[in-house]
Amino acid sequence: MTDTNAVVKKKEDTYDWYKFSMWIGSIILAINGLGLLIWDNLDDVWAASLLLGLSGFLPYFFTYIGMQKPVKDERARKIGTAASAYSWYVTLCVLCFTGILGYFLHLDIGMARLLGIAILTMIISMLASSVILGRKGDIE
Amino acid sequence: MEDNAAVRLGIIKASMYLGYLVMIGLGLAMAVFDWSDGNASLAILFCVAIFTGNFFGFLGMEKPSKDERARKIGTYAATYSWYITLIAMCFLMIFDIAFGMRLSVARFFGIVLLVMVMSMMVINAYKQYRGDVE
Repeated sequence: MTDTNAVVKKKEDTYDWYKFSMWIGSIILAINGLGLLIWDNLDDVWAASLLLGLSGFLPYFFTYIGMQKPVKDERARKIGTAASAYSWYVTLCVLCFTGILGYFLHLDIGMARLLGIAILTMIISMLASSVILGRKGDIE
Repeated sequence: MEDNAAVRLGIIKASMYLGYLVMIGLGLAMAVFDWSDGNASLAILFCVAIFTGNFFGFLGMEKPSKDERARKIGTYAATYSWYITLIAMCFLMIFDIAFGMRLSVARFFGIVLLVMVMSMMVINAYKQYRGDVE
């Protein structure tokens, strides 16, 4: 019994560590997105910090949304995949409307700014829908 | 009643495949020919209208489908596609800086649309063909 508890505790600790890494990666990516959006500037520093954010975010993404061990929990997986679906949809709409409005309103949108908008939308919509669905407790 | 639902689902699927095809064509044209004018914007608007109306029905998250298997496959496909798109976008930018590619906005936009839509379509079709979502 004690062994089982120790294993469960270890799993929870590992999952907490993954979550922490995901949140740090997300924050770095969101700051990157905001910086690119505001300054419309592509250089080595942005590329390096983007890589840093990605390295915190990407390895634990599927564990965070419950699709991989050590969690593989049906509820977390349902919430995570539903949140990704909403985020995918929101990102596509935001990107397309940015392109359309950029053309018709003659907005000055460079590649860096477009990338900033895309990253911000992806990260914020994913985390927000994941938190909202998790709080609601119901994913129907 | 069930016939109506089946017909509606068929229309939703047909519209979504049309949207996918137009989006892929558009992405290719933007990525290859650096195309960005009013016609491209209207084509994007056309695709967005299709996706907005049918996306969640197509994924099985809304009526008339609301089918557990379709929903699982659809949300999985969206998750993988989301992940692939984020990686592709970031590496596109990193390569652009590292190799001095000087991509234009239209080209970047075209590549992102292509990656998003194609990955979603291919993974959805593959998972449905395999019949298993684990």
